[in-house]
Amino acid sequence: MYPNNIKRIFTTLIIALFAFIATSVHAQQTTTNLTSYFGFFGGVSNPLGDFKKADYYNNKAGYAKKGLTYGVDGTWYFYKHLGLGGSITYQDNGELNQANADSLAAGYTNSYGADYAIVTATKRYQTVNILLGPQYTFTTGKFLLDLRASAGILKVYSTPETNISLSGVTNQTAVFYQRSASATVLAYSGIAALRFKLSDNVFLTARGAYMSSQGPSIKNEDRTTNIGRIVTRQSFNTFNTTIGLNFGL
Amino acid sequence: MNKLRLFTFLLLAGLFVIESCKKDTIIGSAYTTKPFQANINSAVWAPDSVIHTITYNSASKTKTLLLQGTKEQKQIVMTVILNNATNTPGFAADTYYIDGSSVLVDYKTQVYQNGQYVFLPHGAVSPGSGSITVTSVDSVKKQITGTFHFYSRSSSVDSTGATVITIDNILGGAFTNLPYTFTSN
Repeated sequence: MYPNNIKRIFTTLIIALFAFIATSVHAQQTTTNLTSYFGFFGGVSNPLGDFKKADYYNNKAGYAKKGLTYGVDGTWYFYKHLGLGGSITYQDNGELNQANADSLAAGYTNSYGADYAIVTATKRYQTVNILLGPQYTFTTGKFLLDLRASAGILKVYSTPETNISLSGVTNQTAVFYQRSASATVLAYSGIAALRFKLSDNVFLTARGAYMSSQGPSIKNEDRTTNIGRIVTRQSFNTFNTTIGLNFGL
Repeated sequence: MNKLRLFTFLLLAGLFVIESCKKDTIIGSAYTTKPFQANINSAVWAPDSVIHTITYNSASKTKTLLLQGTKEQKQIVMTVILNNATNTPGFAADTYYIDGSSVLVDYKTQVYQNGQYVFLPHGAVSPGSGSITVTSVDSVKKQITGTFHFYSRSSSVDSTGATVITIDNILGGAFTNLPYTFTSN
């Protein structure tokens, strides 16, 4: 699922790139730098791969959901169509739902041979990423296509927390926990944005941003054994689809 | 200036949406799916050590169904004896009421006695205190399905000399496609 998604995204980007290049052969070429810009965007953050999966038996599964994302973005052009772009993005990737909690409870019941299990889930995925990288912009008519590769940090404010209570398990009578994580980790990103010139200095922008990070380590407490699902690190993979406005500087 | 106003408005709107996101607490639960389980005094109990047999005795022409489960210092032993039985691996589907002779049930707990841990009856399961229902038997796959319920009554004398009656309720018992072994001797 995860590799297929990545392939699909990059295939789409490559096709878009070549299509754009093909149609912009006769486009006007600038001899000076493009106008640097600054703007904001909002839309949907879509989890991908293991981050999206809801599978008790996959310790990398994140149970993440589609959620709101918004942020600010800008690029400074230092040589014709080549610039340095940066973005600050907030994203929410949801929390465990009832089906997830029931599924985890069933998994722990089976793993431990318990008579009964209760899983209590709190908190959600809330992050901010700050990314910086080179950008190249293709232009044709009123359209501009920005392609950017960037890297930076992912500030994780919270991840879902679960506490598990088992009945009928002699060596695990205490409630045990998978704690919420809060950490700053490295992240990288690929961004494609199509800008439409509304006026000389205002652009309407449709933007797709893939972001990946190995994510924060996860603490597990009060376990007497490592039976069953145990998550020690939660990776992040998202593709954010947003629209926004950009303003020339 | 207008751009700045618009940007500020949208940023505040976005922050409002985020702040208004409810931080829910979700509680999930699951019961065991083991093929042999019951509620003992309202707590789910699914034995991890089980014995399920049907034994034919050619001398007495009896067929005996034994269902036994053990877990966490608790043990249930259920025996149903069919008279004038035939030497086949099946068992008649029927409801068998505890009668103290051909339908016997014990609820035992583990106690420390004479230097060792042993299972002893925790009270008495008297005639009329419950039943075992065999709903289906697959004599080819040797799987048996049914339900059971009963109570065990015990009495003791407290420090004031008063008699204290304790009832252990074993309800909602079920055995589902439980594999068994058949022996003929």
